[in-house]
Amino acid sequence: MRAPALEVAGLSKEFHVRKPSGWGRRALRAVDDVSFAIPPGRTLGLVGESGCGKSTLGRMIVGLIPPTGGKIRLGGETVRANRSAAERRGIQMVFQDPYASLDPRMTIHDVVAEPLRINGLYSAGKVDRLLTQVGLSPEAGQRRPAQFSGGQRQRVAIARALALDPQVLILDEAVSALDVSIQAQIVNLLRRLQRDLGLSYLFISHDLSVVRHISHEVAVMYLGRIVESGPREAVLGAPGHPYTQALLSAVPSVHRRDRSRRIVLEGDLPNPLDRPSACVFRGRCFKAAPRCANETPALAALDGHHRAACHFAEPTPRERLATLAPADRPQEKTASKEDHT
Amino acid sequence: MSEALLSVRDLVVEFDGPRGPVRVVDGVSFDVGAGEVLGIVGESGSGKSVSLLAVMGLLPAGARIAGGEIRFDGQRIDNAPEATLRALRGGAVSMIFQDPMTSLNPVLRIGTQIGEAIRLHAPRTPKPEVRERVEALLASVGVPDPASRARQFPHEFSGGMRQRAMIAMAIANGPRLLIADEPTTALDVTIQAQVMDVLEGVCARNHASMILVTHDLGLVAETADRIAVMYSGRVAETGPTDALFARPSHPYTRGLLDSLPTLDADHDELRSIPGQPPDMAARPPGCAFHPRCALGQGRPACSRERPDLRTVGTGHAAACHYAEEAAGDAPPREAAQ
Repeated sequence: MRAPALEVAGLSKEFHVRKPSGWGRRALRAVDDVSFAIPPGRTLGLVGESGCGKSTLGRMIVGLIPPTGGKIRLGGETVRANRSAAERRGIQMVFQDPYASLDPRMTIHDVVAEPLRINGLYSAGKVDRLLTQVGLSPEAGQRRPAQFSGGQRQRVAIARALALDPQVLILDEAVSALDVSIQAQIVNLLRRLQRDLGLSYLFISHDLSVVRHISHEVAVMYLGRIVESGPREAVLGAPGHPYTQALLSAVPSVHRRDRSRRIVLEGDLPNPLDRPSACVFRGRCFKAAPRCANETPALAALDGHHRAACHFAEPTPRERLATLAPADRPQEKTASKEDHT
Repeated sequence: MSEALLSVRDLVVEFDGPRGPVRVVDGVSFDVGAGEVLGIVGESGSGKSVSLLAVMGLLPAGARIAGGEIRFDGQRIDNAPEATLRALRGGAVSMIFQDPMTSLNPVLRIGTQIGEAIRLHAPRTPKPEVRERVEALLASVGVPDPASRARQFPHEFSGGMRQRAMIAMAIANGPRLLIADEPTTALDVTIQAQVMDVLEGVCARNHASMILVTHDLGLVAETADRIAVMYSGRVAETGPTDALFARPSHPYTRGLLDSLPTLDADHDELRSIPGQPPDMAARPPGCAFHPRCALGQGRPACSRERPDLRTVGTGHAAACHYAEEAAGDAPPREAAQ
């Protein structure tokens, strides 16, 4: 078997935050012992809510912030803390907001040419080819970002990321800011580029439907940890972790309009500075038991590649998720649970 | 339907542009009945938010209502004096915005801000009574421990809690119509589920109507009784939620539904709508959607005549010359580049 295009092992990141008193600092574990591998030409979808550490993870992989611990391997080779030019070229990133990630004073041609010029690889023909590859005309290179819509700007950002022939693209919410009709164009473009160029993607998103569409494997993050991972049919079709189950049941769908089939989680994401001991999800979990407070659940295999970090993991087909919800849940939408608090 | 609570007819809103006025809303009509939830869906720049700002009398400088009329409970409000509108806003009609962090004042306590909403409409309310009502309101939107939470500042609230505080403020004076503009867009799905439950519960308990503006088709599908789909400043299609999703009769609605990936099916390629939404200052002649439309290709009517909303079913209307064809099996569309 060929080495994975990208592999991370035990990757962690701690930030040090000043205490409210102003004296001393506390550690905030944004990413906690994350491991995964992406084979060449495949996509790993990374889902999770805001603050779960998914963007921090992406930024560490691309080298924007140094990890506190763990290893990153590119094509089987461990990437050193001080990356070589080839290592930096190998992993590129596309950001969420195409309005903020392009310099408004540069022409599109210069935006795409910049990484080539820095690496001494510039030729006008190469830039034109890159623009054509993402569905823009070479003439568009003479214009500036302001003259482009969000979807076209995201095409430019993709062309720039492709300029140095990377093996791995980190796509951090790359289609989230776009309207649905445009989002579909960019998703189709990304899939075509993957087919043509054999790229590996780490597709970071909070949108489960898009993740399901574009990914081969899916990992779900909660408070810095991967709580479930595996082939997308398993993770999104029959999730085993209560968090994935709640997340999936909460996605509004045009096709499944029965709101009572939702698992509504109590409470908010805990403050990452006060992470619960042992299982980080137990405070909001409908399956929580005393054991969850004492014993950290390991990411254990459920079935082949499908793994979940829960003592009570139980793969349940998506259609039957509602049967898992606690029985005292209000059935009528008018009588919300807040009434009797 | 009996008398609608809110009735908007042929609304036109113009903004000043560098080359003369730009029609951002171009002849929009819709009704909201008592106790009804109307969903307004559209992509950015379709004019959905501007239409509702016009209803609230909150259009920014440089924008004006250039035609049509807006009636609330039978009364014209589009040309009403500022004092009338001020009494209406936050009273009988109130609005919830997308980003609670920018609509809350960061240096005032949550309780003070909700109390302000109460005292604005009933200035002589004694302080202890205001405090009591604030706590009851916070409790009713599911904020735990309302007495101490009322003394906190917005930055001490999480996103979901802030949006609950905004809802509490919006319902302080028992509104009959709530306008929620992307109320959950900034929130995570699990929190979105909680907030939507609160919003619906609040409307049901107060017998209030709601206009839910969003770009999320799944969310309106779950929540709204009726839906209006907007494109380029006009209503492209409107109808009861079930009918609209079962038989989308405008090629744009169909395209939107087709371009959504779902959790249920595998698609090799998403059927995207080709091209970009038009520039408001240079709308295509005829039907504004025709350059991107699969049905319109080359048909003269589409580029010549602007289609008006036509009835295609009970309470269901679409602004397309070929609505019947759109509702049937759409011809295979070339996959977007």
